[in-house]
Amino acid sequence: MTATKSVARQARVVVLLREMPTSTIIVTLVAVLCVLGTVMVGSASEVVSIETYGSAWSILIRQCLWLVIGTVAMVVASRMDYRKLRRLARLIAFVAFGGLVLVLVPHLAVQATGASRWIGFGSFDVQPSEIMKLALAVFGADVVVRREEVGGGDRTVIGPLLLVTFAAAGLVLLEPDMGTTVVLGCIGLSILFASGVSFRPILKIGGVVVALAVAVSLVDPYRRQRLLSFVNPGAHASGSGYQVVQSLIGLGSGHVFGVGLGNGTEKWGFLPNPHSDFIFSVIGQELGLVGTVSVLLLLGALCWFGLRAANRAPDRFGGILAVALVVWIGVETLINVGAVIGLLPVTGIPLPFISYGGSSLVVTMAGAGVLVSVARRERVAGDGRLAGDGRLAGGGRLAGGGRLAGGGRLAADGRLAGDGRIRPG
Amino acid sequence: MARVVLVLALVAVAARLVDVQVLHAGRYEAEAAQETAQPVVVPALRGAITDRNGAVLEMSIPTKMILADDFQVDHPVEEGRALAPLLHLRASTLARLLSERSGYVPLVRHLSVGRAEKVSSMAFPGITTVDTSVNVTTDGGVASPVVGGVNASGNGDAGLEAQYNRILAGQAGRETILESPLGVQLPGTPVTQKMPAVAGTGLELTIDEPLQYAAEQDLAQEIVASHAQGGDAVVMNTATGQILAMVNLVSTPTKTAPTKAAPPASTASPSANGAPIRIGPGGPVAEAPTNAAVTQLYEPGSVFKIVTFSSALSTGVITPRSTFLVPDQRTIDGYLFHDATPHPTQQMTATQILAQSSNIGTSYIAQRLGEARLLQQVKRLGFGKTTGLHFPGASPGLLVTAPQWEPTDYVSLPIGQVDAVSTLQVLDAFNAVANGGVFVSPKLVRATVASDGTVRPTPPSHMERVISRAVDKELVAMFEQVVDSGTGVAAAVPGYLVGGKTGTSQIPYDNGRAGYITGAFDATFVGFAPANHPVLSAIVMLDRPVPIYGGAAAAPVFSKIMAYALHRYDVPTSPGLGGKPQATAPTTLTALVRKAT
Repeated sequence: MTATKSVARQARVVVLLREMPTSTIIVTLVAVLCVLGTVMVGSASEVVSIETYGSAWSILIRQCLWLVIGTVAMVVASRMDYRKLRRLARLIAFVAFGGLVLVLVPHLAVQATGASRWIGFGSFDVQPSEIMKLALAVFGADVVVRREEVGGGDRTVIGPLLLVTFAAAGLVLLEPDMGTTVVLGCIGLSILFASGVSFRPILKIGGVVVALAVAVSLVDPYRRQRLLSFVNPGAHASGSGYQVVQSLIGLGSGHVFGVGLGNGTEKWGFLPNPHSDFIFSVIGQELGLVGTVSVLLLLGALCWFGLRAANRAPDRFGGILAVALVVWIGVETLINVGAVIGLLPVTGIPLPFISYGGSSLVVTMAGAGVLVSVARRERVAGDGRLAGDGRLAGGGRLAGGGRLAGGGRLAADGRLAGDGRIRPG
Repeated sequence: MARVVLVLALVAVAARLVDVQVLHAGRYEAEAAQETAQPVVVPALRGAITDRNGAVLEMSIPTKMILADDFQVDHPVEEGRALAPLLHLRASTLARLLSERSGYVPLVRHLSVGRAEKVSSMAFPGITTVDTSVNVTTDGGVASPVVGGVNASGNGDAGLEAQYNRILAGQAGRETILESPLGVQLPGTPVTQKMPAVAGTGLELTIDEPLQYAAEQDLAQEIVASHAQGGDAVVMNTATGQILAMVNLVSTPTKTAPTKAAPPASTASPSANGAPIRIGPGGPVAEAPTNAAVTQLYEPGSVFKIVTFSSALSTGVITPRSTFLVPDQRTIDGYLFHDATPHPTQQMTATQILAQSSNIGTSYIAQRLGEARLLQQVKRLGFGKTTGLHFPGASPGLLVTAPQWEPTDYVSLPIGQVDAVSTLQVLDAFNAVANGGVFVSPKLVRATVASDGTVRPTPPSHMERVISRAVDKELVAMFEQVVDSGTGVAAAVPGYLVGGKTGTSQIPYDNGRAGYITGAFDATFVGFAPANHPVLSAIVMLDRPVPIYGGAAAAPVFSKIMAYALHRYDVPTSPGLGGKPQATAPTTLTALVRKAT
C-alpha cells in the first residue's frame, strides 16, 4: 500500500514539475542557491574579513550588496524580452572587449596575486572577463542565427564564432586567467554544437587548441606547477598542492553531516580563499556530504531545467542562448568543484551563485535572468501537453537536416521524454 | 546528449565526494585535527618556602599577564582610558603602548586574577590574558638572602629557590588546544588535557622565623650603631646542625636627609628605646643580596685559634695549664707581629693565651705543633670544603697549602689571617666543640611538603667525631674562660654559661693589591651556650664596625641573640649561676624547640 502510495506521490511530483513553468523552477533554484551562498559566504569569510577589514561582517555585507545588485540585474534581464538582446549583442560585445583590453593597460587595472583581472570603480572592482561570458553567449547565438537567416554555409557560422571566442579567450589568457579562458572556450563551443554545424572543422581546430593549451600550460612555470601539483598534490603539499590538500582535509573532515555551520576550521587560514574559490570545501566541512551533494543537485537541477528551457524555447536564438548560458553555469560549477575535490587543476573559477565575488555574481545572475526570460516564453500547449511537438519543429527541422548533433539531440531528448511520460497521464 | 553529460558529470563528482567525505573521511579528519592541534604548557604554581613552624617566607601566587596585540586595537585612546584604572597605568601611557604597532605588548606582567577577569570581561579585541605567577615574601623579606629569588621566567635564580628549583617548580601541565596557523585559538573548540600541572613541592626550613627576626633586629641595631657596612649572624642547633637563624645584612649607603623621605620615626628610625629598625627599602639596613654567611670568604681572625688549640690539645703538645713566657711582639722573617694590646712579657697559661687572644703566645704553640699538623687540623675542622648545605655559590674557602708555607705563617695562620673561610665554616668548627667533639653538617631544609600535603623529612645531618671527648671538655672550659674573664665578656648571657671566641681581623684589598686596607676590620664572635651542656651555637660577624673588636662589636650582639634563643626554647639555666635550679629538663634542643613551637 505504502509503496504504491509513494510511487503515486513521486509520479505526482514528476507531473507537477513537468507542468510547472520552467521559469518558476529556475527562479526558485537561483534564489535557494543565492541564499545558501550568502549564508556560506558569511561563514567562510569571517576570518578573512576580520583580517582584511577588521570586522567579521564586512565581506558578508559586501556580498549582500552585490546580491541586491545581482537581483536587480536578474529581474531586469528576466522581464526584458531576450530577443531585444540581439540588437544589443554587438554593443555588449564591444563593451566587454573594451574592458578586457583596458585590464591589460598597466596603470588602469587592479593587480592581485600576480594577475590583472579587474578594473577599479571607486571601492568596487569590475572583472570584464565576467561580462565577456554573457557577451559571448549573446553575441555567439546572434551570429549563428543571423548567418543561418542569411543562409551561408557552416563556414560562415564557424568562422566568426571561433574568431570571437579566440579573441575573448586570448585576451583573458593574457591577464592571465586560465579558468575563465576555458569557460569562454566552452561557451563558444557549446554555441557551435547547438547550432548544429559539421564536427570536422571543429575537431581540427579543437585539436590545435588543445595542443596550444597544453603548450602554453607547460611553458609558463606557474601554470606548469599548478598542473603538476594537480597530478600529485601530496608531493607539493607545502606549495601549490597545499590548497588541494587543505581543500580535501576540509571536505573529508566534514563527513556526512558536517561539523556544523560556522564551526569549520579550514577557513581559519589553512584554506586559501575559503569564501571564493574554495567555498565548496567549507560547505563540505561545515555541512558535510549532505551540503555538498545538495549544492551539486541544485546546480545540476538548474542546468537540467535550463536545458528544458532551451528545448522549449520559442525561437532558435533563445534555444542556442539558453544552451550557452547553461554550459556557462555548468562548466564553471564543474571547474570549481573539480578543483576543490582534487580532480581538476586549481584555476580560480568561482562557484556560481555561491562564491563571493561581485562581478561574477551580478553577471551570473544577469545570465540567469536571461535564461528566465527565455524560459518564460516556453511553448507549452494549453491541454498540458507539450506544445513542443509543434514548437520544436525548429529542432525537428534541423534534425531532419541530418547534420545536427547537439541541437538535434537535445530537441529529440526533450520531446521523447515529454511524450513518453505524459502519455500514461 | 547534454543531459547525459550533465548526469555523468554529477555522478562523477558525487562519487568523488563520497570517496572523500565518507570512505576516507577518517584520514582527513585526523589530518584536520593534527594541523590545528597545538600543545600548550600550563605553568605549575611554585612550592612555598616556610619556616619550621609553617610560617610562609616565600610563596607563589597565581596572577595574569595582560597582553596586547596592538594591531587589533582600533581605539588606543578610548581603550587606554577604560583600562587605566584596572591596570594601574596612566591612560596616556596605555594609549602610547596600544599604538606601538609591534603586535606584542605586555601591559602588566602580574595582575591579580580578579582584576584580570574584569579586563577580560571588557572583551577589547587584541587584549588577552596569560597565566603567570608572582613570588611574594612575607614580613618584608625576612631571611631573603637564604630563601633567594625567582626570575621573570619563574625559575629560582638565587638561594634555596635556585638550589631546589627542580622540586619547587613543580611539573608544568600539557594541554592541546586547536589553533589557526596564525596562533588564534579556534572559538568553541575543546581543550584536551594531556597532563595536569602539578604544583611544586614546598620546603620547610629549619629556620625559626621569630628567632630570625630577632637576630636580624639585633644585628641591624649594631650595624647602625657601629656604622658597619654589614654583617652575618647564624644560630645553630648544636646536636642536629639545623640552622635556626641565618642573617645577612648590609647597611644601605643612603645619605638621604631623614627629614625628607624617612617614614615616621616611631616605626622606622633606630631609636634609643629599641624600636624595630626598618630592614629593607627606606631603612638604614637591608637584606644582603646574597647569603654571605656561606658565599663570602673572609679572614676570620682569632676565632681561627680553635685550629691551633684543638690540635695542640689533641696531640698532647699542650695542656690547658701549660705555661709560656709571652712578650707582646716578635719578629719572624723580618716581619713584626704584636698582640692586640701592649703588655709586659709575662708567664701565661695556654688557657690565658686563648682567653686574652694573645697572637704571640698562640704562635709559640703553633711552632711546637708544626706546619703539617696545623694544615691537617684546618681541614679536619671542615675548612677548605663546602659545607653540607650545598648552597648555590657556596665557597669551600681558600687555604694555604704546604708548598706555599712561609715561616711568618706560624703567626698568621693561627690568628686567622692566612686562610679565607666563610662564617658558617667557623660556626661549624665551634659547633663541633660544643657538640662534644662531633662535627655535624649544617642543615637548612627540615622537610619537603608535597602539593598533596605529604611531608617528607630530610635525612639527618652527617656526623663525624673530630675531637676526642676528653680534649673537647678541656676546649669547652678554655672557651668558657674567654667569656668569663677574657676578650669575650660582652658575650655573656645572664643565667647561662657561655663559651666562645672573639676575632678581629684585617681586611685584604679586594682589587688584587697585596696587603690590608688600613683601618678596616671584621669583628667576629662565635660561641655556644649553655657551656655546661651546649644546645645552641651561634656566630656574629660585623663588617668594618667601630669599635673594631670582635669582643666589643660582635660579642654584645651574640649575647642578645643567644639570650633570646635560650629563653625562646626554654633552655634550662646553668647550675651555680644564681639562676633557676637545674631541672630534670630535656637535654636536647630538638626536644626544647618542639616544646617551644
